[in-house]
Amino acid sequence: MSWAPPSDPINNKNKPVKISQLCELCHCRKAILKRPKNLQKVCKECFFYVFETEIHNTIVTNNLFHPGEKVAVGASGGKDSTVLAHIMKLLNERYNYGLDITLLSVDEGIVGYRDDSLATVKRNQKQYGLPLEIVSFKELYNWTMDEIVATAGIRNSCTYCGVFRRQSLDRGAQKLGIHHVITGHNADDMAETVLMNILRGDVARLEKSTSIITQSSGSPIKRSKPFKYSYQKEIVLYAHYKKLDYFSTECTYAPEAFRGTARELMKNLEAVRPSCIIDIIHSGENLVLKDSEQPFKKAASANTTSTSKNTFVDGNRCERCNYLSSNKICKACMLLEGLEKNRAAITLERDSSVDGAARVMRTLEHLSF
Amino acid sequence: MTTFKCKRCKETDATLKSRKELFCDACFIKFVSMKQRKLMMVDEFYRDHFKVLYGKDLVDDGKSKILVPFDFSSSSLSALDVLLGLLKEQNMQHRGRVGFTLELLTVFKSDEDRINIENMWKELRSSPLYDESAWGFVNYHMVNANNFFESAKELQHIVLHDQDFTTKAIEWRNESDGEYSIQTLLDRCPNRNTRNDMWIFIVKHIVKKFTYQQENIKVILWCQSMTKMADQIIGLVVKGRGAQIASSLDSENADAEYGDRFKNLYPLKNTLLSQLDAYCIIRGLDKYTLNYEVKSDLFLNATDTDTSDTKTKNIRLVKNMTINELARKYFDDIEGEYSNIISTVLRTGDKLKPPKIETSSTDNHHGSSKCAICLNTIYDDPAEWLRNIAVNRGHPVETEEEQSYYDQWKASKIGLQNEEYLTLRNHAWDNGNDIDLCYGCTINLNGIKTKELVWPKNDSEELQSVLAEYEL
Amino acid sequence: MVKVKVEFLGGLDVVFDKQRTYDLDIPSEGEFTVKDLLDYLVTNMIKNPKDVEMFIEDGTVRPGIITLINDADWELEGELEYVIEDGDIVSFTSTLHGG
Repeated sequence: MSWAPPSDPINNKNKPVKISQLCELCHCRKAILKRPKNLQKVCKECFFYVFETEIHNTIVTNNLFHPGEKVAVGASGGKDSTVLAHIMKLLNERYNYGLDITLLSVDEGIVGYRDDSLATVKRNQKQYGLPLEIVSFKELYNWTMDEIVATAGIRNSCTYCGVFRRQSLDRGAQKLGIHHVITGHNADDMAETVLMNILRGDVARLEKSTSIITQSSGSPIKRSKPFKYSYQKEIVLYAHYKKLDYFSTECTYAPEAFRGTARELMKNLEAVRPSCIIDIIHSGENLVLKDSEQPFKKAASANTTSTSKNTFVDGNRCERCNYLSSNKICKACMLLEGLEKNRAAITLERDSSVDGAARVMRTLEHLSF
Repeated sequence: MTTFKCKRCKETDATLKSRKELFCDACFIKFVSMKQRKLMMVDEFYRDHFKVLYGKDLVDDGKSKILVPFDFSSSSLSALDVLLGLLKEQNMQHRGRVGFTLELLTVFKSDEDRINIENMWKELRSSPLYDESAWGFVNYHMVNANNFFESAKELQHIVLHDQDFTTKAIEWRNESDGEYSIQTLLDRCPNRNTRNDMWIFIVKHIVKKFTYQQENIKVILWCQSMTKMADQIIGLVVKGRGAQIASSLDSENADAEYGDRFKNLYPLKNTLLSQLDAYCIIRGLDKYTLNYEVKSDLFLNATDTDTSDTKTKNIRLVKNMTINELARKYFDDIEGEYSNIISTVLRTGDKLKPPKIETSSTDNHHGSSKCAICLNTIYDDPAEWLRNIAVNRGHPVETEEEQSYYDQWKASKIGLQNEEYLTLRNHAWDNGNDIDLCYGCTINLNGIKTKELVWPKNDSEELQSVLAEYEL
Repeated sequence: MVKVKVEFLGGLDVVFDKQRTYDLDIPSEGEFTVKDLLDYLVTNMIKNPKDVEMFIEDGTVRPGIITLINDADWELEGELEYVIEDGDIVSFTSTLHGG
């Protein structure tokens, strides 16, 4: 697959700029976008400056890295991770973070989707001069996503994919001696998750849905999200103006239906109130459960455990695969068992971490907008 | 056509279906009113305020008064209907004695509103649904929203710093600075959403201030349906006010923002709006609504054409809707079969507590931690938070052409408008006091073009200043 | 007649015959606005009527798609009312596809 950058405009070179069109930060260049965060109209130069600086601020304020740290950028070839790889390399050089950056990709085995996006990652590797490591579902679990969907049906594809991909990234990082994976989750993703957890009453996940650093219980690998406060729209525009090479085709297996409805609601809200994404994140950071509602730590073995709030460390290992797990048998192995045994649909009911309220999610599976 | 029996009494034919259960009219009325009554008796405090008590148990000499904000919606009409029913029952059983009296309060915006409200109230008062004795326990009050500014002892001009998001306030003098009315304020709001936010706050403040000033009112009975409360929860989340959810649902503790004088009760929080609409239709209250359209979705005989009619009315441009309306649209789209989403949202809200107050590292002036606009507790430093995530400096001027644009900008009307703002800002920063805003109000103020607004200085004196009211 | 280059990015090309860039000569008299362009695209260039909703909602570009006119966000250019000039580039970038 080849890639061609977007065309450069030819029309506005000689046109005089009206005063009302000037950037609201420098007042001397034509504004080209209205920032959804604060409705400011800014020019391309100022946009690059604020976009990059805000990510740097996020990194510094939250102490995401320490000098000499080895980090892996979870790279899918999509817009978020492509921009992330570019920005991490740029900021690392500009501010001397002293990071050792590797690209880490997961090959889920989805023909027509992942094979094409991996080609993009391989081009990124060359463009940015960063090492690349690819781990595959097939190699780790002896199943490709295509085979899983053929066996378990399309309905729960995101559940399987999510569990396996998370573990794959961990295993890939560990293989390279890296203890920190950074992902391209952006402000939109985070806001959507906050909203979704409220709509489906997923109390166990509510408090931690806005944590910038998360760590699986007992796992030596931490994850962080430098794009926590970066808007999807700005990430896409940044990639557009910088002519970054990214891959954009929807996954063959459509996203979870309920997330779809939350996403639709978010898009509508954003059209009315562009700042709502950071507003929701601000809210999310302030959602605290009553003491009586704190879920039992064991039951709340949702994969993420906020390192600051929750110091749940047990260091158990999965009896099957010997990988770190808070349960006797890790989630991936439970799913695998279901796949192997039945070769038929394993339902979410078997998944012990899904609490009662999340049942709503299932009744909503087929809801479309 | 097949008929089904009511699931409750198993005798009468069902007329409506709510959350997959079939009801006849009578059982449905009982079902809805029991839900409200149950929440009115939820703990000892509320029981003592509604029940008929004797002897040493008497609370406030048996003169316990309940304030009901009344807006002629299906929710307030059905809540009143249940309350009047309870009063009638008590009156009969206790030979002229009742447990409480009602103070109804409507806040209106204009003279036109006032006339419509007065007329509708008269019609309701003379409705054959209620006999005269019931009204003996009810007082009706009206307050003009402009009292919000007019009754305020002191107005202040709040200015937001466009660079660092901090705020200062300077004194506002009507004599020199001009009259400030609700309309002035609403006209300056950049969109329906901010207007709606301001209006909701103003009404709420007037209701609470009114209650604060009355003797013996210890309970405000808010008539919000479960549906509306779910909209509000989502609305708070979307407006960055997630920290306020817990206090907005709190009916256990006295309202600390208003001197602990009363508690806020939400007895309709287990009832869907569609159920309250159906209640009003069965009771024949739907003809007394104002600015509100009752929907008949739950009735079995609602024909297809009816529903498609309401559907077409529902289609409104998303861009013109407020956040709360969008949340409602989301619920409406799924309420039919998936009404559990609404109760899930409410249950989730009920599980929250206020966050810990984080003291800011950068400024020490914090005397109070209440928002100067919405009076809510401030839990973090929104200015610092915003500074971290939104950089307000740009890329420098580089070329001669850019310098010339910069000079043109400075000399232009926009540049001058900016000058005007800067003058105000400098004035406020030289002469004003530090004040604190919560995140939500900071964002609202930032959305107003001039980044300033006039607001009553909210202190204990302001709460004492008497509201002018009409009593009917 | 107006000459305009239209680009469909971020995966939106699937709606337009999997082609990213089109150089269009559109017959028109008088002013030709972005609104007219959208109508033209919907009528002439979307093969499958079911795909229209992936591009248009409530008479405008669907939320989640970024519209740029000569690389500037169309919000700053008057959105649907912008009058297209010869040589303009209008791009539509979907943000809805996976990150």
